[in-house]
Amino acid sequence: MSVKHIFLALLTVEDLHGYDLKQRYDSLLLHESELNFGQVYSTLNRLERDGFIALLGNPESEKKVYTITPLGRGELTHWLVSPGKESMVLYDELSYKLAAMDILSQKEFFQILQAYKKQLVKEMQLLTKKKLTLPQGHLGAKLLLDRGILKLEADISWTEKCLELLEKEGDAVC
Amino acid sequence: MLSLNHIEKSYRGTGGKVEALKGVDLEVSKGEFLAIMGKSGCGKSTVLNILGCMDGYDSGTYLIEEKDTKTLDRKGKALLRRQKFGFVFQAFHLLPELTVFQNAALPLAYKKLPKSKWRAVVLPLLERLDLAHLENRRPCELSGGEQQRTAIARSLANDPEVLLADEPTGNLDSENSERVMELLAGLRLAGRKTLVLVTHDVKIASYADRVVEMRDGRIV
Amino acid sequence: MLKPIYRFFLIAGMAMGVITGVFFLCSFQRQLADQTAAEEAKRAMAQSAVLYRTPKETPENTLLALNSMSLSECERAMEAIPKGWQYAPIAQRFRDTPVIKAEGLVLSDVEVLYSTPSFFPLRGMEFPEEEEEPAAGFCAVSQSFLEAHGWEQGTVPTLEIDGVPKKITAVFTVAQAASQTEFSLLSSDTSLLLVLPYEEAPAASTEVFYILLQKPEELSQTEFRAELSSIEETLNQKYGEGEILFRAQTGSDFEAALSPKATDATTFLGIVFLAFLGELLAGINLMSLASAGILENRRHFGIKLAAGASYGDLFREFLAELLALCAKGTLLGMAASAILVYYANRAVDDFLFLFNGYTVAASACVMVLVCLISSYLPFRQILKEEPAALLQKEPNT
Repeated sequence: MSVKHIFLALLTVEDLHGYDLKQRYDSLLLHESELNFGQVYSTLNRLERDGFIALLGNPESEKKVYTITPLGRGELTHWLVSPGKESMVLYDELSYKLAAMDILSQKEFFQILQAYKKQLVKEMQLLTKKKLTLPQGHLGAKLLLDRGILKLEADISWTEKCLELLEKEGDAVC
Repeated sequence: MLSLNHIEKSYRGTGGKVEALKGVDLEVSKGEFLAIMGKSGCGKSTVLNILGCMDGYDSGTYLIEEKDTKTLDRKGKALLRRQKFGFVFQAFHLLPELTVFQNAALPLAYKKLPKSKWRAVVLPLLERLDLAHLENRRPCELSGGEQQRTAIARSLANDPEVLLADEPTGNLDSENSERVMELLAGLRLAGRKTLVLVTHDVKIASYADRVVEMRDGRIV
Repeated sequence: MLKPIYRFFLIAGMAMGVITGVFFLCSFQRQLADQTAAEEAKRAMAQSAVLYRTPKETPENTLLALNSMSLSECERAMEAIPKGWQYAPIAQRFRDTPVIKAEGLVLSDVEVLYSTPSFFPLRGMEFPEEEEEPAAGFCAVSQSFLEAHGWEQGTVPTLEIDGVPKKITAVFTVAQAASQTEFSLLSSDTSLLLVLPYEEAPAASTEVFYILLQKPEELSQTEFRAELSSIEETLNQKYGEGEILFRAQTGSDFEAALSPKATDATTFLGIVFLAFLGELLAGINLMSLASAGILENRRHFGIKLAAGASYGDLFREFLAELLALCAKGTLLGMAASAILVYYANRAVDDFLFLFNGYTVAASACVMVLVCLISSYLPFRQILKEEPAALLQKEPNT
């Protein structure tokens, strides 16, 4: 989870206080995963240590305002541009579940997949609702939601394919 | 509010008797947004047609606010369609020889509302759907999205309690689909209406409060 | 709802249908009028009789042959007539027809008949006015005689007949003077008729064609016929020259002796057949266009039903559209038929088409009825189906 890179991006806009950084981070990620202050300060320390950000003004003053350094800007660009481990398609949570399901009987597998599909649809409903209630202008958030929706759609399609196949095989066996 | 109880329907197809619905049970509560999802041929459109009194059924009961629709004759059904239901179709189904305004006002003609009162009803709808500037155009001059919005205006002309939409975004691109779905969701909330939508696209179905899946003539 | 090309053919077809229908109605009305006129004439004719001479055997399919009598023969025939009966001989000069002058000019093409004063009451006309000089005798002319020469009723001129001045004392219409049959037996069918006193006819060049007889009031029809038979017998016994017989028949029997006017019947039948064809084609045209229109508009009907229309609303809309088009076609057809009937009447002499208010009203009624049927029958297909089916081009999925 690249919390530090989000901080760097936020600091390109303006110099910020730790508290502000947390607020903005949470809001950006739609409060899906809120940071605790421990995470915030450990991240900031690491960034400072690596020279990506610098403290502004008096080190002794109460308010610690940070600013981004040229090195920081470079790091941010580098991170944005390089293809990383976006999603480990074959080895995410679902893959592990599938491996587990292999052990179960076909009938149980079928029922679990049906329940799984229902869950996926419920999640998509949630995301769609969020999209509807999103105020104007939050392009980033909208795109994020769209991505989630499309990914869910893909998973649902896959689930349907599985169910079809299982049904066919079931017919063949019976 | 709408209650389908073990509805069965079959029709004579090219290969013989086809069972479209094999015992469908469905309850639609007042004010809810329900999506019926399924592949083409599963019977979801048939269910919608039965709900809207656009088609009959072979056996089972269909109650509208506790009243059995079997007691209704053709005139009674027409009255229901006029008063309670508004329809939106995948193919828009606008009358090509009428303007946007006239198409939207179509239900008012059958309600026998005098023509002088039409503008007061239709114009606000057109404005809400961003169609006011197109009121004198013909459907052939409109884009898909504009045509569907005209159809939505028509479905709301009689201020029905229930909106029935059959693949409303089926002929639209993704941008227009989103726009239409936002409109439908919004209009339905604002008017406190019941909305039943039928689709094969799960993204569209996800706009609903409740999603029900149909497969092979049955609800799963 | 209907495509422009359908509308065109609907209007055109309707107009054609109306034209044929109107012609039929006009000729039918004419037939009726003629029949009633004929009935009346027949009744009148039963009150009168004709005494004439004819060959014993008339070849089939020829008109009645009339053998004329000389004046003296006529005298003898008139003796056989019972006392108190009213009668009048009708005679014409077969040579040296009288020279008729008016205002110095010689008039040609005038048919001159000679008869006695009883000719007028026998023909239901008033006795001509008494002249200051009764010796001058009467001189009756036909209305068309005056009209043809441009003399108004008031300015009746003095005619000069064979140099003798004569004032016109009576005017009659040609129809009053003689029936169609009688005209066909006389030498010509001119309408310029002059009737002069019998006594003025020169014996040598005059022939009597027939003697008109009037049924006395006190006799019944059967008695009248019986008397006529006895007159016949008496004359034939006395003067029958083998091949030529005397015949005395009532006017109606006389008319019936002639073969019926076959020409009228065939014309009428021809018109009936054409009218039937025309109406049939117009009806087929209307029905098929209505059917096509309904078939093509299935989707429209489904949409309207979804918008809250009832099947009745749909039918009324379609009927209204059809009626509007048919009304246009009917008006067009009416106008066209009025013109055509006018020219047809001018062209054809003996068969007049009667175009009046009844024709228009009847055509309008038929049009509305045909419209109703043509729109309802194909519409029944729509009535059988549910709205959802109408919206789909293929069966439900």
